Amino acid sequence: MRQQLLSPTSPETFPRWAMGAIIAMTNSSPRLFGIHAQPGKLLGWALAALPFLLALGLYLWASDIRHRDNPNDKLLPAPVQMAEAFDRMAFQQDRRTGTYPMAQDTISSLKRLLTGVTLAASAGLLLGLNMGLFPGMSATLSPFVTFLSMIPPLAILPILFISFGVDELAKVMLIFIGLFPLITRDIQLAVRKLPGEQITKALTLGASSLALAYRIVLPQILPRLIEAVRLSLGAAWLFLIAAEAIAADDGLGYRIFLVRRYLAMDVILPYVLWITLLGYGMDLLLRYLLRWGFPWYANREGE
Amino acid sequence: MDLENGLIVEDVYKSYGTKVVLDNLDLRVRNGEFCTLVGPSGCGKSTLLRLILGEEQPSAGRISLNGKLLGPPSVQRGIVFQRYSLFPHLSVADNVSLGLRLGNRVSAKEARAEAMQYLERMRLAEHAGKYPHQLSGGMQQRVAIAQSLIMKPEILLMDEPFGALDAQTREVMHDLIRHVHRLEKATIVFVTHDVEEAIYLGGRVVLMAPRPGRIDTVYDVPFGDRRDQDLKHAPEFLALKREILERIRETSGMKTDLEQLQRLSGLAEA
Repeated sequence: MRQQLLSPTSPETFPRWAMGAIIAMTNSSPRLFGIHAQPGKLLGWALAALPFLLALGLYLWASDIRHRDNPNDKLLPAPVQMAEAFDRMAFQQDRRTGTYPMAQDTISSLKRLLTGVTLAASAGLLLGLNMGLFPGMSATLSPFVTFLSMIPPLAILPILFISFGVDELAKVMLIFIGLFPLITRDIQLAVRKLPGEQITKALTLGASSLALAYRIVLPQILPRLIEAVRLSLGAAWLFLIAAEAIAADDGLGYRIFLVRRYLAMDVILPYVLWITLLGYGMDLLLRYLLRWGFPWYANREGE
Repeated sequence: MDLENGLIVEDVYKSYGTKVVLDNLDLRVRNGEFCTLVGPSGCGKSTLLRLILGEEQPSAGRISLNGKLLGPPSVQRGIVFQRYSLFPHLSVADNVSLGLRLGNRVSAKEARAEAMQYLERMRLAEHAGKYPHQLSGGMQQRVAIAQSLIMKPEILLMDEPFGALDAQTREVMHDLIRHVHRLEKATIVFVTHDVEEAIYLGGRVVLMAPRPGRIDTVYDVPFGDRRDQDLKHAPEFLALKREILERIRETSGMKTDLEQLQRLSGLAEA
């Protein structure tokens, strides 16, 4: 295995990658530091993995120390404990309900999250588009939406539970209220940034106000909407977990706050990792959608 | 000259606050004419074009086209800007056929067929399926011209359309737009700051002067319709170019700047 890492052409006894690392750090043409650094592909991967490995190592080291003092330590569970907990939550049927808890939690949470995000994105797109394009709409609604966006959504969570009940609606509404003003404002700004020449050009081609909004501006704004959703996904998860922590009978946030009572870090940590992976996966999905659905967007003129 | 038809700009005055941008401006452009507006920056040539286009309204005076007073931008007028004339999310063919589709006057198939005809004429047929960003600057402007022409506007306005192109591409575009002008019998108002371009393209060159923006001189270009690149080196062409450049220097105050510089650096001859 090691032999393959050696250069096939030169009989060096020193592994090539090690040589490369040394050169990278000592060579006068910088590959690692400075603004002219050009980390190669392999080195790039290695650099990206470095902080992850460091964090993991740090955790394992700390966990090991605690377990040496107390084999039943719950605060920093060892990988084995977490694997057991994960197996219990993900692959074993709950005897009481007959479901797989983690799958059930994931489905419930995703349903709430996607409903809230979709509603916020649709409303934000529609409102932002009209506010960006029509001065009358902007004059009427801009100050109001700006005002709304300054309300901390979590502060009105009690109001939501009181007015929409403790069922799904309140949780969806929290995500909606948290995201929709931001998406609206982002879309409005994006519409304003379209070159005025385009609007004039469309008018000389016979576009009505409606055609202008929905045939010229809307398709150009859709990729911006995807970007806006990507940026607000983190906030959406925050609102979801908060709402589930307070009132729910399933969901990823519900489970985390339920097992917190038993200091069950061995469940919480895999759940947190799972949520992170879900969020990362969604971001990746949206990125691909942007690339394949809007090929003109990444290379458009002047940006 | 037909008194009713064509573009008529009468006593137009435009100010932003107390700043007068266009002062008492009169201009007539006959149907079928290729009229170029040239002048130093700040002479109001682009403002005048925006007024004709309808993006802004004159503070006083009236602008009419074929007897109709002009309002906000409409299908009466076509426009080619220096940039951003094309819609980045539409293919070349869809950009050109967009005007026909927006009017809903023809089916998608007919619109596409007609767009292809125009693209053929602009030698862009093989690029019909591409997005604008995949084309060179010159090609993009050709698409923009086709996109405007397909609407058969009463007047085609061009705002420094070749200003961002390299010199070679610009020469090709000059011959192309002259060809299009003769073929389509289009009425064109063309704004540029390049005097050579203004003379080569225009049947008339309207020289504007700054502070406040006004029409200084109108030059009839005596070279008729048959022009080629060699004309740019002909003595008559160069003489007219020299005359206009001289006049621009006089009206824009660039001459006094040079004298002042020479005085300051002790190079004045007297």
